[in-house]
Amino acid sequence: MSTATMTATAERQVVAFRLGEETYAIDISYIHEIIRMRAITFVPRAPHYMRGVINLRGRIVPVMDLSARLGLPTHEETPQSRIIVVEIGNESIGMIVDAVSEVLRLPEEQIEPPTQMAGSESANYISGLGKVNDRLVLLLDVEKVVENTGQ
Amino acid sequence: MDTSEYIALFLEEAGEQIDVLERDILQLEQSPSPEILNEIFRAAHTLKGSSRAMGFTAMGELTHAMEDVFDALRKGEIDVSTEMVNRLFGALDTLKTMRDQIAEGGTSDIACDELVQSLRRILSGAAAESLSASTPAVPSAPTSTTIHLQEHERESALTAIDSGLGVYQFTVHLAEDTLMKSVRALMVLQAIDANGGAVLASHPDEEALDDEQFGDSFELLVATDKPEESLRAALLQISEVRDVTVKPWQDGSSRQVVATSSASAQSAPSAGEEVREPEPQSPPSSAGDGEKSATSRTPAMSQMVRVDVQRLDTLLNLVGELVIDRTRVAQLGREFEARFQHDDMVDSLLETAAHIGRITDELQEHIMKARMLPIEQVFNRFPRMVRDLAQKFGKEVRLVMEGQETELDRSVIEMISDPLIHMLRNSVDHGIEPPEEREALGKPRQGTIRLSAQHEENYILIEIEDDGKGMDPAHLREVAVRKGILARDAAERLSDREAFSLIFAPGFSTAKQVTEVSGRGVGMDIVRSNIQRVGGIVEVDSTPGKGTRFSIRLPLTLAIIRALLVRVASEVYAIPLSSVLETLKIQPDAVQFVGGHPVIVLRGRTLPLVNLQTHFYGGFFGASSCRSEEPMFVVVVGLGERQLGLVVNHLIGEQEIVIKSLSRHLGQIGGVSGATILGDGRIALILEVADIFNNLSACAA
Repeated sequence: MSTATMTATAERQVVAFRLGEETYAIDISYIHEIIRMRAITFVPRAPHYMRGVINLRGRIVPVMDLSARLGLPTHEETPQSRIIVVEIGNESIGMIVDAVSEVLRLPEEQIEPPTQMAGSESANYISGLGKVNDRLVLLLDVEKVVENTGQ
Repeated sequence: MDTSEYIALFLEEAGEQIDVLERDILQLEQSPSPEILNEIFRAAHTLKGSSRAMGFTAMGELTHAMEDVFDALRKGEIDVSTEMVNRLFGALDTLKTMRDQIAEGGTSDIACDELVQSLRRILSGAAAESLSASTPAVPSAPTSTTIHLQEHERESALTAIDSGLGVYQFTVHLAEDTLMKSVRALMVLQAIDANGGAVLASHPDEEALDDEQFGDSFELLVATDKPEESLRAALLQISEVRDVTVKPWQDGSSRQVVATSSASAQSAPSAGEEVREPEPQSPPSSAGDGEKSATSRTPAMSQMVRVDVQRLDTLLNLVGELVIDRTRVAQLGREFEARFQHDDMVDSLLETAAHIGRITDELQEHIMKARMLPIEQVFNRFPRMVRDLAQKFGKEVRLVMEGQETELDRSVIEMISDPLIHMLRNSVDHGIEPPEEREALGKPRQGTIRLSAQHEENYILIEIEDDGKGMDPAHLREVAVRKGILARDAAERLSDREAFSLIFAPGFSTAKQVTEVSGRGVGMDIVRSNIQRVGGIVEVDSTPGKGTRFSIRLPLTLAIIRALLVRVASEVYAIPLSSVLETLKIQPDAVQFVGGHPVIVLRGRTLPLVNLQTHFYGGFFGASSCRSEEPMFVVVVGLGERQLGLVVNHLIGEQEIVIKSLSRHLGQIGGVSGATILGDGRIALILEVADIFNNLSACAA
């Protein structure tokens, strides 16, 4: 049995980041880039969790406050705040997070279904729970987060 | 043989032929002439040939029947009648349906026996033998070029040799079972062009190649500075090209080309005409026509390229990016200048920035032009439509069109078609009186609708004017009150022009009886909102008893516009200049409040105000907001007859902006139509003026 191929296929690469005290992660294949905070043009009458739009090298990209979207308490911006730009379909969308920590490799067998979190609002957007060195990492279902925005 | 790869081309060509038929049949009814008859016959013939080649037999059958009618007309065996034109139009409509079915992946199989029979009956009076003689098989004998062209071609060949180019005679052999040989011929011509060759002459000529008037091979005289073998190799890449032989062109071989063509020119007196029309009585003028069309068409063939619309859209987007960067570079240049004064590097940066600016402007202009289409594309279908409508309503109407060549962006063209159709229907149905009524009024029986297009500054002005019964402003006010669109006192206050604009109000219809075509009063409302959606303006003016005129102003393009930049709170907003009437600087005490709504009086007219900051960001704009000593800036915007003042924090200036759409994730943002990127990299939202007007009416109601 080839252990090398086993680990290669049974591992997920994710980017971990913080929202408040919690650690979340997004599958690396969605991530277009991670940028520092920059001036965001406010768009009036947009959904409350949409902070506005930024100019990303000539493209106008909407930016959401991920904490607000997940129904978590929102925080002041800090020098560690970042915008994670994800790409879904042909569209880019930015998500403000409190800090980006690292790229993690999560073995598939350590990812549990999100059942134990049922009840909280953010649970709708979690696709799984991972454990890294006894730290809990919440895997974000990016498609669900972006789905139905603007309606 | 798989024909699927030809379908798109076939559909496009069929569409063109159908357009020609539509236009010419109408002309036929009004003023038949030999030129029209020849053109119409040719279109039907081509369509017949290509539809049969593609295996669409029903389509081939129907065009065949039409072709026979045209042929009989051409020979003077029958005369044009209204009934005949109606049947021809009926056949044409079926052709369109067939074409659409094929486009959707179906076949042309629509039962058309009855139509074919009805067309045949037109011919029953005509001589039987002329029928059979009129439809020979597609001839294999190539037509010849005219002697005049040969001399011209020979001169260019000699000039090419003088200037050091190689001149070769290419003989291209196509595979025997090649479908749509003209396509392959066209590809050969394009391949030569793309590989550094220039086609000086062809035998048969390019028109004949286009019409498939040749056997399995044709000859080309080509000038090039490249090795002839590379050209030959390029041609052999084209599928269904079986072989290509090349020999250098010399005096001897040139004589041979000239000799063949002059020989066949003698045998066929009507040189430029199709050989398949043995018309002994053909007057010399028709040969002249053929020659004219051959010379005018040859350059069109070799210099035009069909381009996918998406490619043009992509190009325009890229230029949009460049326009933004240009503005950005220019701004950086100014900032460097301010910081480092006259440094050599700064100077050369400024110089380069200025040059990039000029090039970008030019690039933008050319790409915009490439996207332009003549409005003819929309206008073309109207004569037929107006004719049919007039017949249906028992009216007599003459449609006069002007400025069909006026060009505008294809995106605008696409959108303007439906509103125009609706307005023309209205003019025929409600504008023009029945002939008897017109006579009683001392007007000519035949009403006139004038449809015109022209450039006006940065706009296209389209006018639809009829000499019908016009509109009565008092009646319009009455209807508006009765339908609850306006209160009586508000209606009384409207000027006559404002009263005319009532027809654009939702739910307003003055037609005494609802007709099948003009429908209910939803029409003009939608017409106006469609026009406004692309940044256009529609106005109406009328004189009772004399007629009505609609004026539509449209932007030349939807992608790049001029806008006035203003500051609202800490953001920059762009107001399309097409809506801006003027800007004012007023003292806060000039603002009055009518029923809680802020207004100012401008030249004796009450102008409602909308404070953009409170509009977008909330808060209250009341009397207390106007206590400061600071002057206020007001941008007066207009939408048709209505005007309002937008209160902004600052005026920044005018600028060309590239319209970008906002992500759907932001939802429908009322009052904002899109965004643009400014020279400093910041984003400005683009104001949707029509939305703000609607919002204001909603508040006032």
